[in-house]
Amino acid sequence: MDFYPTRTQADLKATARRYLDDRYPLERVAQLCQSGTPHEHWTELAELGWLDAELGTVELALIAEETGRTLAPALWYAAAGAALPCYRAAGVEPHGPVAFAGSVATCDARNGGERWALHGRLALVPGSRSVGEIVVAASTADGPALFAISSDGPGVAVLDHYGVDSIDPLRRQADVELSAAPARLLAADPDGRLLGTVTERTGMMLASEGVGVAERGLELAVDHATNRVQFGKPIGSYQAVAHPLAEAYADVELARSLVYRAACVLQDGPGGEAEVAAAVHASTRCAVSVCETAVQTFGGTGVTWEFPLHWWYRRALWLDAHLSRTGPLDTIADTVLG
Amino acid sequence: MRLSDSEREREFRAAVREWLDANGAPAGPGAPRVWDAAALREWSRASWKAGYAGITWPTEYGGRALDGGYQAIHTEECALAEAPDHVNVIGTNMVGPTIIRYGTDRQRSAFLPRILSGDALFCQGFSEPEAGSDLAAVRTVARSHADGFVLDGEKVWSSYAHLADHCLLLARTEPEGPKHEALSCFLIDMRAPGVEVRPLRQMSGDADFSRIALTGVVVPEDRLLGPRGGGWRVAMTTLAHERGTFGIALTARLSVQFARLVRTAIELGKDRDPVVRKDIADLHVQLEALRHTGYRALAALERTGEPGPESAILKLRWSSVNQRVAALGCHLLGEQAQLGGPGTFWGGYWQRQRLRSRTNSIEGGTSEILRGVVAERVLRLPRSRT
Ligand SMILES: Cc1cc2nc3c(=O)[nH]c(=O)nc-3n(C[C@H](O)[C@H](O)[C@H](O)COP(=O)(O)OP(=O)(O)OC[C@H]3O[C@@H](n4cnc5c(N)ncnc54)[C@H](O)[C@@H]3O)c2cc1C
Repeated sequence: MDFYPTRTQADLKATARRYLDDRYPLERVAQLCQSGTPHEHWTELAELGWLDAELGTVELALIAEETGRTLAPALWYAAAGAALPCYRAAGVEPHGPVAFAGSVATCDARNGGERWALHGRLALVPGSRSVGEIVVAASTADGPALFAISSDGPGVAVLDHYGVDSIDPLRRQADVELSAAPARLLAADPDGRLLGTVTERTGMMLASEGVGVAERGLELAVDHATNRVQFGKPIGSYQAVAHPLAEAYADVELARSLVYRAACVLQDGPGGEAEVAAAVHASTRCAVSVCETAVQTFGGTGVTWEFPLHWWYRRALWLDAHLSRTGPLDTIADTVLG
Repeated sequence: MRLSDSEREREFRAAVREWLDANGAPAGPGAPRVWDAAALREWSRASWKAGYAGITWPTEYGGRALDGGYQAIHTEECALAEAPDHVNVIGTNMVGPTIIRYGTDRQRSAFLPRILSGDALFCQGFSEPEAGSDLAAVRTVARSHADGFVLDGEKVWSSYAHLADHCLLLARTEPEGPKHEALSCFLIDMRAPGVEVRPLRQMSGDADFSRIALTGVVVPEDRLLGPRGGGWRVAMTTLAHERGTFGIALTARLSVQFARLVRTAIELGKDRDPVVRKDIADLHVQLEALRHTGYRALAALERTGEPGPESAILKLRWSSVNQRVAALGCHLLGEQAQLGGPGTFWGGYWQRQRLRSRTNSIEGGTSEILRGVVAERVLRLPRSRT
C-alpha cells in the first residue's frame, strides 16, 4: 500500500494551487460572487490539462481540493467529472463550457427516425445559463442514454422562478424545461454504467471540493487567531479558541482521507458507491462545521457581508444541500446493515 | 496513490493470516475471549518464534528489518483476527525502539532480544500523583550512590506493572536547573529491593495498572538510559513510538468492535430502526476515516521518515469514536443496560466497555493535551502555557 500522492501527483496539486492563488485571490472571488457574472475560464482549463481524458480520479480529486480552496468559478467539476466522459464515449469533444444533468427519471428521449428529441424537466442544473451545451441523461425505450443539447436551442427553456436564487452565487442553478429539444446522442447506456460512473466521479470531486473549502476556512481562522490580540494576548493562545480549531483540523484530515480512498477505488473501478457516500458525508459535514468555527473565530468581522469568509460558508452550505439528494448515510447503512 | 498491497505485502499478509488461523484464537460469536496472563505469554512466545515480534527491528537484535508497512499489516491482521497484543507491548512498541536509539551496546544486547521473546516484560513508569499531563514535574528522585543511583518516589497508572520484570522510569537526577534538563531515564528491575507494586482497580473492574512505590531502590550505573539529564528527550522518543503503527492497531481493533456493534444491533432486532441505522452509518464513516488516515500517516512516515501531521489526530479521534461505539452498544440494550453480569447479553460486555472506554481520552495523553499539541505544533497557534 502507498496511500499518499506520488511525486507527480503532489506536483500537479502544487501547480494547481499556484495557478489558482494567482488567478483567484480573495478579493477577486468576492468580486465575482458579488457581480454574479458567470466566469468559465475554459481555454485556461484546457491549457492546464485539467480537461484531459488521461487524468485519473486521484488527479481529479487533488485538483478539486484546490478549486474548492479558492472557489474557482468555473463549473470544472461538472465538465471534467461528468460531461466530458460522455462526449468521449462518442469520440467527440465539446467546443466550450458544458453542464450536466443526470435526470433520467424526469426526462424522456424520443427518436423520430434520424433525430432525437428530449422532453421533460431538468431540476436544479448548475450552470444552465453560463454554458453552451448541457449533457443530459434521459430515458429511452432501451434504457438510459446520454445526450447533448444546446442550452439556448429550440425547445429549451431555462426557467427563472421569481424570488428564487442560489445560496452560492458561483453555483447558479435553474430548472430547465425541454419540449422536443433536439439532442445529439452521445452514448447509449442501457445498464446505466456510464451514468453511474460519472455520478460517482462528480460526487467524489464535490466531496474533495468540500475538503478544500474547509481547509481554506481553517487557514483564514488560524491566521486570524494568530494575529488578533485581545486581553493582551493573541486569541489563539486561549484554549477555548484553539481547541475547536484543532478539532477542525482533525475533521479536514479525516474527510481528506475518505476522499482519497474514494478516488483510489474509482480509479480501479467499477463500484465505489459506498466509498463516495462516506467521502460526501464526511466532507459536507466538515465543510459546514469548519466554516462555522471559522466565522466564530472572526467574531463580528466574520458575520459581515464585506468579509469574504461567507462565500466559503455559502459553498459549504450549497454542497451540503446539493449532495443531500444522494442520501449518503442511507447508502452506507444499506452497505453495513443490509 | 495506491490502496492495494504490493506483491510482497500480499504474500506477507497471506502468511500472517495463515499463521493466525493455525495459532490464533478463533473469534467467537459473542464478546471476545478474555486472555489470562499465562495464555498471553504463551501466545506471545509462539508469535515471537514465528518471527512476528520486532518486524521492523534490526536483525542483530532479533528483528526482521522490514519497513513499517509490514508491521502495520501484522498489527492489522492480529487485530482483525481478535488475537491479543504481545504481552510485552510496552517493551516491543515503546521501550525497545528507545533502547535501539539511546541504549549502549551492552544495554541493547542485554534487553532487546529478551524483549522480543517476552523474557523481559516491561512497563512504563512516567506518570506520578503530581505529574500527569505535566510530565516534566516528576518528583521521583535519583541520587548518586556508590553503585550508581538510589531512587525514591512514587509512580501511578503504570500498565502491566503487575506482570513486568523491568520498568522504563523517568526520575529527577538534578535538583536544580530547568526541568527539561534535570530528568533522566532508567531501566529498573521490578524485583529490586524497595520496589513495591500495588494494583489499582479501574471503574470497569479491570485491574491492569498499578502504583509503583520506590523506597531506596539501588539502580546500577549501567541502567541509566541515554545521557544523565537527557531523560526528557528519551521519554519523548518513547512517547513518539506510541504513535507510528499504533494508530493502525487502534483503528483495526475499532473495526472489530464496530463489527460487534453491528452484530448486536442485528441480534437485538434494532437494525431496521432508522435512528440506529443513521448512528451506525455515521460511526462507520468515522471509523473508515480513521483507518485511512492511519494508512496515509504510515505512507508519509515511509516516504519522509517523519510521521505526517495528520498522525497527531488519530488517537484523539479514535478515543471519541470508540467511546461512541460503546455508548451506542449500551443504548441498543435499552433497559437491559441497567444490569450486568454473566446472565446478561454477551455477559455484560457493552456495559463494561462503556465504563472501560472512558480511559481512552485520558491514557497516553488526554484529549485536551492532544488538542493543544495539534494547535501548537500542527496549526502553529501561539502557545497557551508560558
Ligand atoms: C488506562 C490508563 C493507563 C495508563 N498507563 C500508563 C502507563 O503505563 N505509564 C504511565 O506512565 N502512565 C500511564 N497512564 C497515565 C496517563 O498518561 C495520565 O493519566 C495522563 O497523562 C493524565 O494525567 P493525570 O491523570 O494526572 O491527569 P491531569 O494531568 O491531572 O489532568 C486532569 C484533567 O485536566 C486536564 N488538563 C491538564 N493539564 C491541562 C492543560 N494544560 N490544558 C487543558 N487541560 C489540562 C486534563 O486533560 C484532564 O482532563 C495511564 C492512564 C490510564 C487511564
